[in-house]
Amino acid sequence: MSVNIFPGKDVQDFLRVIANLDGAGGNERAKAIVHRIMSDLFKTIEDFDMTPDEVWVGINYLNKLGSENEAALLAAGLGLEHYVDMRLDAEDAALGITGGTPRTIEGPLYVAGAPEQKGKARLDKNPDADAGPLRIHGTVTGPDGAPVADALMEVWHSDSKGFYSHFDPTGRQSEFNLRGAIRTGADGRYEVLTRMPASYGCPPSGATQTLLNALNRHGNRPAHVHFFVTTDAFRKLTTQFNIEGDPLVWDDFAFATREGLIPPVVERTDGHGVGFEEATYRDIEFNIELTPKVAGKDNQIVERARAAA
Amino acid sequence: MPNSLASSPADAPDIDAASFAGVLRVLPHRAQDLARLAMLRGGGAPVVTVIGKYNHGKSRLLNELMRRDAFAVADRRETVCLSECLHAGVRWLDAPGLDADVAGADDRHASTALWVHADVRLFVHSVKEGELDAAELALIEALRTDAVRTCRKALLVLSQADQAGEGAALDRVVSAIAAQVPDMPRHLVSATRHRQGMEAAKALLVARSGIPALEAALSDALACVGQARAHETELLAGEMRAELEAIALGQATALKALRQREADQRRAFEAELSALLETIGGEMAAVVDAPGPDLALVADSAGTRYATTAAKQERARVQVAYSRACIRIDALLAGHGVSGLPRAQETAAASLNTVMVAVMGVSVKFRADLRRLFCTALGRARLHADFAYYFDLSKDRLRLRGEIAAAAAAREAAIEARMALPAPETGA
Ligand SMILES: Nc1nc2c(ncn2[C@@H]2O[C@H](COP(=O)(O)OP(=O)(O)OP(=O)(O)O)[C@@H](O)[C@H]2O)c(=O)[nH]1
Ligand SMILES: [Fe+2]
Ligand SMILES: [Mg+2]
Repeated sequence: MSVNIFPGKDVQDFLRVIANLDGAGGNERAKAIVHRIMSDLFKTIEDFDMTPDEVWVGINYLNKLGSENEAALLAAGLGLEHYVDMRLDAEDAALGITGGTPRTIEGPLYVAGAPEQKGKARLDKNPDADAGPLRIHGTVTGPDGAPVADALMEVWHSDSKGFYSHFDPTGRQSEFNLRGAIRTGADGRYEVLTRMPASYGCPPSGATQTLLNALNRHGNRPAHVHFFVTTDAFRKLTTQFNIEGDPLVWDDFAFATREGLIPPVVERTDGHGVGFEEATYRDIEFNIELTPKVAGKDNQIVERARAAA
Repeated sequence: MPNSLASSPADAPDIDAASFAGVLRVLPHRAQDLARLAMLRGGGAPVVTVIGKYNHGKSRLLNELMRRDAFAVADRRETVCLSECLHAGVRWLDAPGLDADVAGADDRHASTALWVHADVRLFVHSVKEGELDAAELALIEALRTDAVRTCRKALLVLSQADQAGEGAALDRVVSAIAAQVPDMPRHLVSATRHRQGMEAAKALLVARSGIPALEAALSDALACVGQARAHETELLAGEMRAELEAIALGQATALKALRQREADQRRAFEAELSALLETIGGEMAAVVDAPGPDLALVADSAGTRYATTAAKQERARVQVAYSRACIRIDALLAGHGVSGLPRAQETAAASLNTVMVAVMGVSVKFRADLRRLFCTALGRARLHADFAYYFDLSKDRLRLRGEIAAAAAAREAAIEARMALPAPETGA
């Protein structure tokens, strides 16, 4: 039976009490945001005439989501992470900051502490028969196009099963496999020899994909490589590129794909020359253009819990 | 004043103790019996010990019986650990006096002498102290019960006869004690008189000391020691053999039941898994054999990033079908306690700590992948083997295997322990 109580004085007063809007103390911003979120939730319940059972399905779902540690995954899948990025872009536009390599989401699987190497690094430490050789290289420049020396390029990506080292439940990858930290030289160049990552998605029976099932959506991402680019002079860049040709490139469940982040993949046969065991390999040139700080400060630094090894 | 003739024996003899270590592990409550059995196996001179409350004249009695002042005598608590003296083919053991109020180390020494070392026990009570008290009565009762069981003799010695006054007073005490333990012969002795009689060569005094009569009874008891030891050896070994056999049999029965359960669980898991994979195989075939080109393989473009396309719909259809299959398998795994990843493989990302993720990976599955995984006998056999691998590593299975190993080890230990015990007398 549909009722309409939301606009009434009782519910509106109730919402103010829930957030302690009229009481002293606490964090005013937190109070205002909680008041708004709860108001929107109450209105949703009323507009959709949600049953108590449906409300409890949702509450129990939150417990499942938390126990499986998938809240960040769901945030990506429901576009929250991308929405925050869209706002950062709009801020940049408002500040007149243009150019630069596009930023995109960090994802939850970065691990601090990869051993630093100068200019060039080999990332694959474990054999992976299903992943062919991949070379990634490029130049880090500033907004003026001049090469940036001593930029720290942190790179990480998955293996052919979609697993990252340090987060591989099969236990098959050694520490920092497919992860590296390369310091650019005076020419701003970096080079990485590794194996091709796979497109991967949410755990197939996990909380996020379970919710996506109800929306008839998949929880998959195109194959991609993550980067942090850190310098003293410029804003830290958090980005990823997708592997060109992956059918999921513009169908990322986390909405992280951006123009400028799908560099061409070239097949080359001088593998022995560049240091591979195989002659044939894929080659991706990915140049980085950093953006200036805003009033001497990096306005894009994101603080969040990260793993370290 | 320790005497040079007296030496201190170990609390429990080492002889054969090592060979009984295995028995002791299985039958820890038989520690004393095993120590006794080791003694018996070691053979050696018959052992006579005194037992009784402190200051009742135990040490001095032994000195009189041996005709030498081997043990320290004093008018206070004197003997605090075991001392022994070999004399006339007998090991004489002087034990500390018992004190009903103190259950200390002294009492433990006395108890070792009494139950582990001695073939013949002289229970010493001074008539000076009047009747037997409750603790003494209890101990005498225990000695008599033991005598029936093990054939070891216990003699009741009423000491310090010269200290209870003459005539009527002494008679009263003695008859009171006789009333307390009516069917146990009493040996009324006086060490002082015996010593005086011996030193002055007064035969009558010696006879009146009661020591010769006690010696006669003691020598009768010593004459039985050989037979008693044989009986006791067979008794203790027999009891423990039976106990070990019962344990071995019990563990064998438990082991059989556990192994049966292990096999049943595995069979049930495998049967359910096979059936489910078969069902999913059929359903997945319908999913991947949809007519028309596989749009999932056709990339979208930047222009449709916020639009719904046929290719996106197709990728969703396949992924959702795959997810639903995984959810069903996961429910089966959970029902058998196999859903969670073994502790050793857990990662920092809790979302990945499932057997499902470890087996299936998180790589994107296209039609060809699903066909290979679910729609071929080989693919299903691989999944079956992978899930069965984790089934065997699941907590319940590990616990069950631990129980099986423990039962097998317990059975083995009982069998080995039984073989370490003396074999039963044959042809008896
Ligand atoms: N008059 C008399 N005194 C005795 C006799 N037997 C022992 N005593 C004395 O009683 C006291 C205790 O004698 P012990 O032989 O040391 O007594 P115990 O039972 O060995 O005492 P603990 O070693 O302390 O348990 C000593 O002073 C002995 O001389 C006896 O037959 N007549
Ligand atoms: Fe990633
Ligand atoms: Mg003594």
